[in-house]
Amino acid sequence: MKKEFDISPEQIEEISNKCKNFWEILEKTQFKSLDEKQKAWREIGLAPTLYNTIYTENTAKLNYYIDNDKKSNISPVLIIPSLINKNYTMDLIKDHSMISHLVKNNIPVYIIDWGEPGIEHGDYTLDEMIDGTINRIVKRIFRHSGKKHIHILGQCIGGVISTIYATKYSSQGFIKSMTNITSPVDFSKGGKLTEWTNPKTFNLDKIVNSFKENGAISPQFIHAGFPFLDLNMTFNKYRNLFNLVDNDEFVTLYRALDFWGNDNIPYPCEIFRKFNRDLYQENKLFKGELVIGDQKLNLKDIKIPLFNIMAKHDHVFPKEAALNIPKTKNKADIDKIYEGGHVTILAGLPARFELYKDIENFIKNNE
Amino acid sequence: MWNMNAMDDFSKQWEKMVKDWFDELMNNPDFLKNMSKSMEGALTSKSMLDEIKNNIAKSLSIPTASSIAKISQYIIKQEAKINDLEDLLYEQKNDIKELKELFIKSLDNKKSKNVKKTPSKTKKTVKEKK
Repeated sequence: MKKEFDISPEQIEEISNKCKNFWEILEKTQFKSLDEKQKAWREIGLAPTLYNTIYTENTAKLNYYIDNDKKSNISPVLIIPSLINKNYTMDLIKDHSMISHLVKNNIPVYIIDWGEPGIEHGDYTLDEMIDGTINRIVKRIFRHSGKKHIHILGQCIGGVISTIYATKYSSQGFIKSMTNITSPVDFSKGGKLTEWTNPKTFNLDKIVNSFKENGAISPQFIHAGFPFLDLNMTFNKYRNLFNLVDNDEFVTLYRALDFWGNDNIPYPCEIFRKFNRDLYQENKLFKGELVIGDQKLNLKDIKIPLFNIMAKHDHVFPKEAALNIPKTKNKADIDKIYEGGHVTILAGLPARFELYKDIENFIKNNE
Repeated sequence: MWNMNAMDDFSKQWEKMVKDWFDELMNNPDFLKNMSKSMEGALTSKSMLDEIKNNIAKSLSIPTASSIAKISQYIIKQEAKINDLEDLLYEQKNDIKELKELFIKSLDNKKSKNVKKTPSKTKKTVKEKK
């Protein structure tokens, strides 16, 4: 009879080394002090592309990425990142940076850094963000770049914000194109998050009012449920680390993604309320009933080209939530599903190279 | 010998079992209701704690978080207004610059027209003199 669990001493050593390395990496992802965190940041080489901050408004900053002061004839791209994570997923590490690719290919890039919203953001609304902050940011880009048009690119919740912004302002003619990366529009197909925010079991007002004192919902509260969105993915994360713990390149990427995944920011209370009530619970953006300022928004008002990027294995926003946006069709519109997950298509898997090139081409073709 | 595949199969099966169990739990309305209730309970405790903190701050005559928040919000709004005014000023400055350029251009045009007209005038006066 075959003895399946007889192990040779070499194999025991190999497995024990693997276990040791595995725990070492896991320990490295836990920080006891700010110093340790900063040391890890430098060690991993996060956010490698150089930038200047050209505008600040409260905690928000507008960063401009530099490439040896090359002059470009292309209109700048404004990247609107998610509201619950920091923006460096777009510029994660060397060779895993969308921003670096765009800058190297002569596309001027500006990105919003939301900072860390606090008590002063208690009454900051989505309307103020769209009509106030983002409008002012766009004006600063025009001033800084000397151009009169922009392309906008949003990722995750940032894509929802850019969709809302484009619905309201694209008719003014200064937005040339819009790129959405893993951003939902039809929230009735939002998967588990739609189920979890069901008004029957999700007392939105109670949550928001309880955090009102802090001005923003704490990131620990928001991210508590994320590992349970897809348990397989959570298991795979650790299984892959165990299997590839000797691969330095993989370990660096793992540490970078883990660092970013745990580097979360608070979510301004009133934006959280409107986002969950009007979008998740009532699907108003898709239905054409969302009001921003005093204007009812209709997605058909988006007449600019849209590059709609979806991930095949997106566990946060299923691709179905991003498909079939009822905008006015444009010849240059592209819907494309990439092999990968919510973030890995952007910073992880080899699919990212195809994605970066496609984004570059889309922007250049719609210049 | 050690069979890694057997270990792998075992762990995958365990993961599948946990996932199925969890998915079932997540689709169970009773579980979700209880989760919601316990979350609400925790949030009520948080609100009560915040209120106690505020009362202590008031009794010690130190500003509460909400009063600091109000001041900060006021500052943010003023900052936004200043930024808007700055943008407006910049736009007006540009408009004035453009108007100035237009004005200078139109003046130059007029001047050049006058220069073209003047020789004909002199010719006329010469003829008149004759």
